[in-house]
Amino acid sequence: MVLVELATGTIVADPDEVATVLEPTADEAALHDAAGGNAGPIAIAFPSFTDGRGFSLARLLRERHGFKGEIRAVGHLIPDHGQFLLRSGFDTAEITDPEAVQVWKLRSSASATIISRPCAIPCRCAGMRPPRPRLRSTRCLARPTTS
Amino acid sequence: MPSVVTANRLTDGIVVYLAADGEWTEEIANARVADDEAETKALEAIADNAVRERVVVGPYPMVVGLKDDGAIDPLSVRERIRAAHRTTLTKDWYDVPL
Amino acid sequence: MYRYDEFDHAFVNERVAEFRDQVERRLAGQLTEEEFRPLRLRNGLYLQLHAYMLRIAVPYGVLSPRQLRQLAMIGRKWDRGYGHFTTRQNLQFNWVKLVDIPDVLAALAEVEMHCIQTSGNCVRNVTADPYAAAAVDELEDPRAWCEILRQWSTLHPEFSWLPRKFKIAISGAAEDRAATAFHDIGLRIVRGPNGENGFRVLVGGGMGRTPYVGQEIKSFLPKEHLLSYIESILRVYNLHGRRDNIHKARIKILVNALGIDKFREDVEADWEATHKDAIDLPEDEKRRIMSYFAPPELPERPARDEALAARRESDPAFANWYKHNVLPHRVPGYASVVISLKEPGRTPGDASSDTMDFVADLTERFGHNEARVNYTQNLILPHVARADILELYEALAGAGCATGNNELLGDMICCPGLDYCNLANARSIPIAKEIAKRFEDPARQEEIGKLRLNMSGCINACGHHHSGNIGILGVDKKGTELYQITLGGNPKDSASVGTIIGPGFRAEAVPQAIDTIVDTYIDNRHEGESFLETWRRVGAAPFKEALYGAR
Ligand code: HEM
Ligand code: SF4
Repeated sequence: MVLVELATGTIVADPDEVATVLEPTADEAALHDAAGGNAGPIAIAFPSFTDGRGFSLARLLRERHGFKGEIRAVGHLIPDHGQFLLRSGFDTAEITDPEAVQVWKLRSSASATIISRPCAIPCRCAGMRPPRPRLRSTRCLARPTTS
Repeated sequence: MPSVVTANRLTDGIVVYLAADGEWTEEIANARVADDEAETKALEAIADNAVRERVVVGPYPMVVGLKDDGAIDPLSVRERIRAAHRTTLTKDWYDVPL
Repeated sequence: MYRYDEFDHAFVNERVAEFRDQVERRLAGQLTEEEFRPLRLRNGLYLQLHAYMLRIAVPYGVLSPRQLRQLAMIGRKWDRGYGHFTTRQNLQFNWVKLVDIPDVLAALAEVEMHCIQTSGNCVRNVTADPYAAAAVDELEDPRAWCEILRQWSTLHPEFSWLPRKFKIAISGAAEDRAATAFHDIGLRIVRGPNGENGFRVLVGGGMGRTPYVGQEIKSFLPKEHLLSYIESILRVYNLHGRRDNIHKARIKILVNALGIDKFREDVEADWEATHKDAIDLPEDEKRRIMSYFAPPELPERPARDEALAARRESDPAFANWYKHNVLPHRVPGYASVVISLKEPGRTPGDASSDTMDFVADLTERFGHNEARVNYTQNLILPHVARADILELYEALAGAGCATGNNELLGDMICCPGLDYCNLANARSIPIAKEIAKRFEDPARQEEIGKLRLNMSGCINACGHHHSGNIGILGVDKKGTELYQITLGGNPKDSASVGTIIGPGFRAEAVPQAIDTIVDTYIDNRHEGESFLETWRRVGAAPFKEALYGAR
């Protein structure tokens, strides 16, 4: 079991201990409690690779509950999830096969165009991209808007 | 019950049958007929290997009929259409000759 | 028409390269079929009965001549010279080889087309009224909104792994020509309380084994909130839609399990909590996308054409075609023309490469460089000068595309069925052909009047049989193809799902059964009554009696 940092596709050498594990059925109260805890990593479980509930949970943690700490995907994950996880608010993913890290890395670099689609919203990454408004689904949702 | 093993070829998806020589043939007439369950299982094992070798996809055994002259009868409408490698739309302007 | 910008080009090309790599890895044995399958499906590639099938997205059904020619070329070079237009305004090729797919995708990218999200549990191609920007009863062009939804939904971070596929249709006109009530989300552009346009939002419609007519979740949604509201619907669905049973995973099941009121409450609660301005599209970006859909400049042309009138007098075939396939246009002197892909003897919705090239020429000569795909599997030239209609007709007649049966019985919707489809239980195309033959006489179809006959080869209902005034469903009864008939479906306003009329028929008995149903309608109808009106008034009894006799 290794932990991949989604943005770089590299292995996290010394992972923090998970503070809360959220099942896909987590409700608002569970999200609220998790986000308000000691801000240790929150793990979101993926029981199957086709089960996309975790993407919604991560986005809600970021946008509704203002959670700034690490969000970690755990469970049945495939490299094709990488860019979706990153863009919906995850930082890391736990994978069983250390060999697969290469593929995860490939997948996140293959999607470079997708996440580099320019947008005009002022943020820390604005300076790195030509400012032009774009549809937001292709924006990084890695960090919520501060507005 | 007489059975043959069929699949789709990986590279182009075309319907194929496991032939007597262990190769895959587009002609159901050249398919190897298994007479009992044990023989069918043996054919399936060959097919599974062909999946690993990336020759075919989705193999399955199917029960066939044998005509008096020994010709293989695919029985169901579905398998007859597959065996013909074409639609049943014979009068079509674009239809591909058999 | 929408034009790709640098981002779109880079993105689509990247996808082609990515899939090329995936195909190579599959062929080299680095990917198993189980691993490869979801990847190919995300690029619209299925393995069907005879071969691989590629589903190409035609966003909201709009095609340029350049795209039509490229599709024709692809059909010739990599397929068998024809393709099939579907009820989702897409095009399918039936015989492409896996090894050629990367080249086909590259050829599509050249003309700003792709197959992304034409399969899989994600938001699919958004469909629209094919008469957009031409119809007289249109309030607002839906295509810009389709394009906005397309960009928003493409690789959406949160909604790319939904419980099941998700289909959206938009109509901006008074009459619903996009079957919006049979979509996961149906959007109607309507006039709001302050004279502003907005959306009436329907949710939970669908076909398949449990058909439902969509229910109204919001009577008026201000346009600027489209994306945030749809995100809330999708979020509630993504979190609460069933994932334990593939047959119960569509949003329609969730909506009907919760009840529309509870479902609406959940969506509204989520929407309230949303930072809407972080999701809704900024005004200038909206205007930028709208600008691609400016209607074409239509020079002034005479509103009345004497030659046309004379020809209608003298030539009954022309008069018939004109009556059904030439539709009024909002600009005087213009019309929209339906190019029928339903000539008796042909497979409904199929077009040869030659036909595609031919239609491309026509769009340039007469159609202001635009063709549309109708979900009823015909092509449309939305903007044709009335003064050009005679010449256009001659050209169409020469190519066997001047069948005047738009919206008549002969204008059947028909899925590929067991002749192509791996999921099919029965054939559909040969039945459609037999029916077309039986009703070949235009006078007979004229006598019947408008009638929607839809057919599917299995319960998945790609041929929309549930919404046909007459619907035919192919089933398998112990190895025999059997056809179940439903009556009273309606895809338009006051939409309804058809009811099964009785035991199924064997293939050879189907045309006679349709004939009997049609005769019963004619015998029972009041002056000027449509099939649906008669059916709703008299009910099933006379039809049952005629089909099965007194029991
Ligand atoms: C379409 C618009 C946007 C695009 C294309 C975009 C793209 C990106 C990309 C590619 C990254 C780098 C991810 C990585 O590799 O670490 C990033 C990071 C980030 N983005 Fe965005 N972004 C957009 C909008 C926003 C907005 C609106 C905000 C907040 C106001 C935001 C806040 C951030 C933050 C805080 C980071 C992390 C930077 C870091 O920790 O180094 N982004 N963005
Ligand atoms: S309705 Fe059934 S048979 Fe027809 S195309 Fe769809 S899945 Fe295939």
